Amino acid sequence: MNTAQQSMTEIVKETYQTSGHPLLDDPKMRVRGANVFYAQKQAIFDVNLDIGKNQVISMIGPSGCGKSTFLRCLNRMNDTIDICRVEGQLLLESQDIYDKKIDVVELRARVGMVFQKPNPFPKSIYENVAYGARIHGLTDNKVQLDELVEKSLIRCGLWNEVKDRLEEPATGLSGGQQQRLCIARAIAVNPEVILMDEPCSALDPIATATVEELIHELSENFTICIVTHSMQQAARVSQRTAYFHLGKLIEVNDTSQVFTNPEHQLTEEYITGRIG
Amino acid sequence: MNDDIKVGRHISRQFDQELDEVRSRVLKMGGLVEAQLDKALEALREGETDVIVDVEKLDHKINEMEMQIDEECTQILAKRQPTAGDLRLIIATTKSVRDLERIGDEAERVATMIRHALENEASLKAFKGLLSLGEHVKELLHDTLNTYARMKTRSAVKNIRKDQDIDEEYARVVMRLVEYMKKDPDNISDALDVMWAARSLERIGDHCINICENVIYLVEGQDVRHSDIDTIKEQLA
Repeated sequence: MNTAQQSMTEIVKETYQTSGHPLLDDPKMRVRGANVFYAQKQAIFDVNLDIGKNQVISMIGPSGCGKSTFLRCLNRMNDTIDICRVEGQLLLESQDIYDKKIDVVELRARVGMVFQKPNPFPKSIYENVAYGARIHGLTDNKVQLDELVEKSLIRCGLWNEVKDRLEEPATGLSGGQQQRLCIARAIAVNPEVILMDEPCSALDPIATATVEELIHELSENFTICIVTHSMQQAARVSQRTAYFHLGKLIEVNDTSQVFTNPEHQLTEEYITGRIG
Repeated sequence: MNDDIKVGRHISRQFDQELDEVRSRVLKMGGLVEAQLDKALEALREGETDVIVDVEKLDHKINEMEMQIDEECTQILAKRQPTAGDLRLIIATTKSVRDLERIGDEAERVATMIRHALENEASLKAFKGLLSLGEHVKELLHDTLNTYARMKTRSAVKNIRKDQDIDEEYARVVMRLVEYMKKDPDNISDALDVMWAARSLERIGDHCINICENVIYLVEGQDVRHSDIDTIKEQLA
């Protein structure tokens, strides 16, 4: 064992206890002993967390704490980074999402993702929503596809704003509309879980409020994990909040508790603005 | 019991300063309220009406401070969106300030009753029986302000126990006054004045306890209102 490997082993052995209630009965996703490495550097340390069905869970923490890295593990988005290695057990329902036999494209249809910056395809508004459904063969004909596009846009509160210009380029929409279009695109393939990586950080307060309202409505039917730098947003949209610090999951509790009476001192220091 | 809460060390020093200012203003207001009760009792002890004017003057100042502190807390809520301990500090402070203002009102009421009594020899004698209760309430108020200043759960619990003694003492005063009234119906009017003053003193004790409960909420994050002392101790164990 070389020195680098040795020090890595030592880091992994370092044990800690997550405060609060990271585990749930009958969760949608179950993560046990997750460790993530970028080459020799460990980014996530022994994370154990359950993600509840039809709940919104927020991941908060200072920059570089590993919250986005963790989120990206949940639909194997980290596979796109060559030097990234994920260890541990990550289950969607009872399926191991890191099983070699799993179809990653299918997994990402079940666990969709919305990014920080709205990233519509350089196609029409209609095509942006129809694309996923088409490649996954979710509809049999044009009528069904039209219905699916309309339904997805209605669910995202965008239909009335775009119904008369569905063939226009999606890039012509405002930032808030583009982000809701990306959410419509994600839900069009009927995912079970939606991952959102700072979905409102590029939006103005009104567009942010619209997306937050949408998250609330979607949570009736979808499980949502959101990474956010806005603690007020975490407090507003989620039922549970997970606090990450230096790659460790420090605390998971009901959001109402985290923002009024957190259990762990590091959580308290972060949310009250004592560490950055 | 967690007897330690951090108030400073924010990345924003301005925020630290704003919270410090609010806390020190509350303590200043508490000092004024304490002086008000002290002067009311001094009037009774020394038989002097002059100091009662000061009690009334202080009440205006206390009312102004209540509004000022409320405004500062509102500004902090709007600008800083405080969370966790900071949020609890603001909530506990706005509630405690209301209690302090009411303590001021009760102290003024006691002073007004004492002024009436000083004009009536017989009534004054009955009022003298209140001195002991008044001194105990004053001590509780002093300890309560110390509890807020130091944010100590233990002393908050101690004060809650002290208020039980005050409630018992108040009950004994009332019983004595009932006997006094039974003896001669002419005593009823005077005795009722004393009873109202005793009631105000007892209410001051209750407001002190509200402040102590706010301190427990601030330090521990636990709402112990409407619980008896044993339950509170169990909750905090």
